[in-house]
Amino acid sequence: MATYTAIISTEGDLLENWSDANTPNFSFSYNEVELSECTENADGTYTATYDTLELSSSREYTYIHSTNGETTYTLSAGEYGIKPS
Amino acid sequence: MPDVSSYNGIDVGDIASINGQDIASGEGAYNPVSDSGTYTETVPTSGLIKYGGSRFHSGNLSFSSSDNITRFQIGKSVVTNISSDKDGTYPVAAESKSDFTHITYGRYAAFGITSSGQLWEVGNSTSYMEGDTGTSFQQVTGIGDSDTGWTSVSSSYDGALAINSGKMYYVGANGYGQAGTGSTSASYGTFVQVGSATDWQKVIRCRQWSMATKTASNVLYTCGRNYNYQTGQDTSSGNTTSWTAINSDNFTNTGVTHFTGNYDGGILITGGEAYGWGDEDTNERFGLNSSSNVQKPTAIGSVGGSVATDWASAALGTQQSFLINTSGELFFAGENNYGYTGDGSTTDAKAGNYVQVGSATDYERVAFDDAGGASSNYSCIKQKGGKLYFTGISYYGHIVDVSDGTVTTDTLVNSSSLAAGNVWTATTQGGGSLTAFVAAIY
Repeated sequence: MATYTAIISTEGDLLENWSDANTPNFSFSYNEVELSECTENADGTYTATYDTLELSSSREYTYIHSTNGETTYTLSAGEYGIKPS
Repeated sequence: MPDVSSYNGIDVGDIASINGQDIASGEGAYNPVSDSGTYTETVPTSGLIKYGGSRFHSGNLSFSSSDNITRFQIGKSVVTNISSDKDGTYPVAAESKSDFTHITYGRYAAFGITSSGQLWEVGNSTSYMEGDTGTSFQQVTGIGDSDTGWTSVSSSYDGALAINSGKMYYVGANGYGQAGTGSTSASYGTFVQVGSATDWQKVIRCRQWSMATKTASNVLYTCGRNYNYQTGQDTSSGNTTSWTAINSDNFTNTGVTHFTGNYDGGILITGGEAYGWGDEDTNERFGLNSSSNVQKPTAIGSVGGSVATDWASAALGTQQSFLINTSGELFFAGENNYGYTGDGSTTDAKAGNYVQVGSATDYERVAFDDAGGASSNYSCIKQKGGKLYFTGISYYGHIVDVSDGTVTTDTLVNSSSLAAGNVWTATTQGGGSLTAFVAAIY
């Protein structure tokens, strides 16, 4: 797990989710739920954080696909969920 | 005596009695038309859902301000003039649902399943239930394969999961993917089917995440927010948006006979072995003699230095946990600052072992919050010998009629024994203070 920071403006920005094509059963989002949990910057913006999914070795996941049913895939070692810029 | 052969279009001759009292002219104690005589209310004494705790403050699963349940403020004073609560501990539901085999209370909506497989609901927000709001239970119909096909339901802070004929249904918030529908993009204002699987077994909905067993082998799946490792997926990153088999690095994920969760973690039991996961700190609620987060299901339940393998059920608080073995003995680990053990002490159990509470062998179930809604717990309910007992801080719920303070000795919630089936739930109602609440059928 690695922690990253991002600049946001409003509490609504904390609702953002993003995906990683390699991890179909996960989405990624900020750690904070409310602005009060973020660091306030001098320019009125806020700094939020998020964690990525890091695997030191490959791992198998079994999840229920909405249409295909039980689905198993193997995720290779690596880092997943870095927020697209 | 007026001619009352018909009144408001009703043939009075068809009304033989009211509440068991003969109202035939000149023969009954009470004449409902002329409003003369003496009417004595007869109320049922069994098969009642009785509520205790929680102040029902605005915004929660509240009742109207004119409702007796609100006015009586729950258990603090002797209750009079309200349904049938003879010992004054509980306000009592407006109606009897004696045929519920399961009840579950979320913050805004409650559900029950009857012995015939019907699903009933009551609540004050249409965002978290199927139909209209109200103060009386109403049947959920037209959802699933059959109106009598419901087998499991769980309501939490802002949503509910249910199973009908093996298919899963969800209503409520989905901001963390706790519906398991593959996204976080929508809330569901009505029950929607989740996927197409037909072999779901049992569901538990917690505040920001969910658990369910699937297939005849009872494989445990989770979804929702990962932030505190509560989904047991070995990550605190983002959300598990599809139902995913819980991490099984440390155990074989089949035959899960019991599972429970709270705001930030869970415990499962398979083959008598107990496994815990989630947020951990110096409270050492998993009895592992460690303050590190437990990122995935990890063997817990050491007694005297050896991991016991005869566990039957568990309760997970935010700072402590209980395990009950197949002999009905109760064991505790973690912080006991509010006297949850009920033996009069506030002694913690943080030495890497679960410590037996007393020597009784009739403990049946313990719960802090079946709905997993609270980020901190203030009360604990134990079922022992067919009766419910309270420990914890009285102020945050007034479940028992004692002065505000910490109750460190198991105190009867109600002097009666539970009705057959032992149908009860403990939960918290959220809001400004996480008020404790218990509902049970007597």
